[in-house]
Amino acid sequence: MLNDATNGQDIDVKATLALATEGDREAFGMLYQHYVKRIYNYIYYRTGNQHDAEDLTARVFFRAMRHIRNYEDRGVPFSAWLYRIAHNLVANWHRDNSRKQEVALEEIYHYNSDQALPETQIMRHEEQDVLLSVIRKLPDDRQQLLILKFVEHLPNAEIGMIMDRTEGAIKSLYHRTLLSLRDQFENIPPEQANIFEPR
Amino acid sequence: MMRNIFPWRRTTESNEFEALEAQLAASLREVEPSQQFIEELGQRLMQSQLQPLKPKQKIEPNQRNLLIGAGIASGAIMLVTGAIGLIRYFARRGSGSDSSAVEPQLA
Repeated sequence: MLNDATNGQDIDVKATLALATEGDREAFGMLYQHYVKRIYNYIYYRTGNQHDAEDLTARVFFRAMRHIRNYEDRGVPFSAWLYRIAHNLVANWHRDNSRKQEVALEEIYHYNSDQALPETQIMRHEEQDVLLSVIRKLPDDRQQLLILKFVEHLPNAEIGMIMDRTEGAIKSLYHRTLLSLRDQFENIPPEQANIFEPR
Repeated sequence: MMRNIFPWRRTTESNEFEALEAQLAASLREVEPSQQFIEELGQRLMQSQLQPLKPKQKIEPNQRNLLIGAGIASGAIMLVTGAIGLIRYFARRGSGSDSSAVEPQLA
């Protein structure tokens, strides 16, 4: 098994996973602590709001706990298994709620705000607003790729395992995604792509 | 004074993706779930019951034979019933007594 990127507690994933699959609840708790932020981040960017991100993150881990005994090590990181559960739940969420266009972007600003001047923050928010709205219009697989790459900082090989594609296919998809983003930004009307520079 | 919020739009073909990637990296940053949420969910997980694996339903050899026999018997009954139906249908057509084969007569 490949080593999962550490995020949170530093644990021996393979050994902990072996215990968890035998029903050791403490071991599952360690896995939870290790992966909860990554899964939350993924879901947060796919849903765009804290409430649904928390709800779906909880569902991911309850589902994982129910099925952990059936988990088989097939040579892919355990995170891939969790991301697939998350991906399926997010897909169901979008289908059931049809809210792709209604996601609240402003909450993301709250988390990303730093100590910059208010004017600078406003400009950043406008940039983010346009960028995130364009990203959310991309097909699911491209959104997933961008989140795993830029939020989770995963290498192409691991993204490929999560998305069940080869590393080459991920590189190709990434290139097509960048081309698509560039084309979409080129089509943004000038009045939306320009803002007044603050004095 | 107007300012383009996407400076990479003005860049050359060779480095425009670098600028776009920088923009993506700046916008898609890691978010922190609340510590309260992490702790509460952790507690809920630990308090919930791990469901035991459902034991696979075992079928004894004599039960299996019985089931196979019942399947074969029901299949055979359906075949015979169908065959009898077909024979009766063609027999009626052959004797000309099939009412469905009679053309309606004008008065």
